[in-house]
Amino acid sequence: MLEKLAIKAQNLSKYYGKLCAVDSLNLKIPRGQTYGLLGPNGAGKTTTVRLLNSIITPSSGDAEVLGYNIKSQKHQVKSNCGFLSESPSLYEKLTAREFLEFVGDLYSVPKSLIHKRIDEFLKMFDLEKRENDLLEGYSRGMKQKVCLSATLIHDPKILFLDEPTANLDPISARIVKNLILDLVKRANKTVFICTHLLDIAKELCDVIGIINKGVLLIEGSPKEVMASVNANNLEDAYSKILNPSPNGASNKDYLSWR
Amino acid sequence: MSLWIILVKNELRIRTAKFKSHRKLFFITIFAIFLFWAIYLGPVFFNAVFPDILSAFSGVLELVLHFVIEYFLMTVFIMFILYPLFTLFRKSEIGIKDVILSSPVKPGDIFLSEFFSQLPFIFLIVLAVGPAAASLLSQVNPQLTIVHYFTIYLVIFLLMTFSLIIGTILANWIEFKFSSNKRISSSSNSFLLLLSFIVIISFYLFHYAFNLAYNDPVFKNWLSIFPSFWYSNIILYIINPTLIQSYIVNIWLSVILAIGIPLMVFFFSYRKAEVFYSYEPQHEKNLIIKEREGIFFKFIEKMTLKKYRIVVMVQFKNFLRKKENVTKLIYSIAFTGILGLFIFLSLDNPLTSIKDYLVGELVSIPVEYFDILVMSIFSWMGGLIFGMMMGISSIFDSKDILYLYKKSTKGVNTSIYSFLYLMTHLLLLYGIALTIFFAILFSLNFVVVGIFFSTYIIYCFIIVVQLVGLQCIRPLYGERGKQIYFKIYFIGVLQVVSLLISLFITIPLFPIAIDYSLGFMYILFTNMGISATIASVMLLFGLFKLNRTD
Ligand SMILES: Nc1ncnc2c1ncn2[C@@H]1O[C@H](COP(=O)(O)OP(=O)(O)O)[C@@H](O)[C@H]1O
Ligand SMILES: [Mg+2]
Repeated sequence: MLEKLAIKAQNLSKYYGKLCAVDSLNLKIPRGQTYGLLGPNGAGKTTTVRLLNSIITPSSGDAEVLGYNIKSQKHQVKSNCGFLSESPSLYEKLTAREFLEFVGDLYSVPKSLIHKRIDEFLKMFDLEKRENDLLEGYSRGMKQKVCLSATLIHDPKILFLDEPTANLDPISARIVKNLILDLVKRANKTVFICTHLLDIAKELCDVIGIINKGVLLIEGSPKEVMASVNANNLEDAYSKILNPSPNGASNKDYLSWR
Repeated sequence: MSLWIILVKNELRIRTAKFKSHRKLFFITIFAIFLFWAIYLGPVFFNAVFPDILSAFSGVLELVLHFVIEYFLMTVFIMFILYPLFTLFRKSEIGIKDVILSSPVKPGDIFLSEFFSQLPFIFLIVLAVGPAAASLLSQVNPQLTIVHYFTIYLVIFLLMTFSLIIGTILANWIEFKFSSNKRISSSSNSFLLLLSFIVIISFYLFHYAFNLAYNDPVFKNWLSIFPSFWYSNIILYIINPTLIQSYIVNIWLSVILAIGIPLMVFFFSYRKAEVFYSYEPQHEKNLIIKEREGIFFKFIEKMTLKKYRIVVMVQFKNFLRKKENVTKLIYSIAFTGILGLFIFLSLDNPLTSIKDYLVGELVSIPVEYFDILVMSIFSWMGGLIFGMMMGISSIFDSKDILYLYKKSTKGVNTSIYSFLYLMTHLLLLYGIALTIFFAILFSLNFVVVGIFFSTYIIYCFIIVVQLVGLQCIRPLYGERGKQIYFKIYFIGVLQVVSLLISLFITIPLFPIAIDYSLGFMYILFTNMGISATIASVMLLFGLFKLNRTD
């Protein structure tokens, strides 16, 4: 029988020395859902997705992704997940096509399928004319597009996207958002997005969780989250949850450094 | 296809990015050229040159051949085991990309791929220098054919491969222990020190044991189980089967061991890589204890000119807080120091007597100049070791850092000058320590102490400047791999070339009855002048290039 939950985490924790990057995280994300993990810089979002992708091992707790244990079934977890890391993780000395071929090979995608997919991605992201340039000459946004293609090349069942639109121009960001919407609607993928951009969360996510200092503070649909703190938009709710004192942020003197 | 093969392919693609549109042609051309040299040109050249050179040694060669081959292969074997230990922690400084970490590759795949992507380059090196070795052997046995030559190349290549994988496993295992064992990682400084001493002392001990064993037939027979002998046995057998008649490890056993054991090591290192190899991104703990750091850095700060103070201090901290650099620093000093100790201890062992025998035939050196000779050789070798270790530490951690200097008002040259400044600080500190050690060890007089100190510092500095010049032309942005090896080989060859040039210049100019020490000084200073000139040209050109990179 197919596991109903795409992601199940129980008391998942990660310590770096004394610093607790992720603090007993519990998650239950059903298949086909788009989940948004929101939080300020250093909240533990990247650490969470790295844990869920078996890239790092948890200090305590456990998790299952698509029914596979992240500690004992690393291979299955990695084969079935797509992970887009926040900083462009690619080889500067390869061309876009070479790099995508390489990643396709790593996931043992058949050669003909790899080439077909690469053609489609390059067309979709408007990179056809640059496909034979070395990646070192690409702009950050272009690199991001290549990385996103690399994440999708083995058609993973579940996608982990760490700041997917951070470096993109508005039009490219739109393409990525539509892509994610389509992946969920038409291909029934599960998507896990880490972001600090609230418009993404509002538009794409069925459920959002807000994390700070490794602790998951609240979880629910965007509407529920807003309702819980009597906010009328997500930004308001976000700052209320992270900054309980009513005007904590606005009291600061932002020019004191002069 | 196994994933490690894909990784190797990718690694080779990255290395040959310049030729991306005609990689196949590039590989075929390179290997064709090297093969032509190894099979035809090289042997013809050396077979023409050697007889003249070797006529001076006629009779001696056959006598010492046995010893030389076994000794040489053992040294290569040990050197290649130790080599990865010298670049310890480089990997954890750089890390592995997320694309790879999140894909279904296993530790074994990454380990084997890192190893195998080195092999084509090693093979090229063997093809490049092999003809010299094989031609030397054919002076003893003129019946050697191309097949024999190629077998000799293969044997050397196999030996290097085997020892390199042992070294790589060892180095990774040590890094693994450092990252996973709490007790070790909390006192990593002292462990590193201990480790480097163990490594270096065992290196010298091996040589010592080898020399001892050579005079003791029973011990010798047991020693021949040591891996490098499997390989030297094959070469000796090719030259003359009777040479290995008395060994327990006969030719068949040698061949089986020489091929079988490496294969087994490969297989197990692939299957069991998670035991010694970690690819999880590491959280770096500070190597140097902060409080002690404070006093030391205050002192250095005081010693620095105001104009450079801030940049030098920043680079100094960035430099010393990398575990990799501290390891290399410890190694380079310990290596030179223990080299001295070893020579001191073994002044009357069999190896030196052979050296004496050979040297005695050609030139005799009066004892009183021995000090100066030995100390100058130390400073030359010590300079080479220090310079090569330190010159390959990356000045710019990334391209962003380079741009940071470029956009600042001080300009990019400041970063280079400050790096050299920082090297001078290190050099003075270590130079003094080493000089005191040698002065006490050999009970040297003032003149020799002065000569050693100044030549050591100057040689170290020259090599560092040469490598910095190379780095300016093509910066090492904390990357790993062939870039570094290439720079090291280049500098090594450059030293030999400048030494040869200085010999060619000075020797014909000598009056017949020159004072030995004076003649030696001539050579020393000429060599220094040539190396320094090369270094300045490289640095100036490097700075020129660096100001124009974008
Ligand atoms: N390799 C590491 N070593 C030490 N600390 C780390 C490491 N990776 C992350 N951290 C720490 O963990 C915390 C969470 O980081 P991260 O998950 O990257 O945050 P986010 O992605 O939400 O911005 C931060 O305080 C960060 O400093
Ligand atoms: Mg992050």
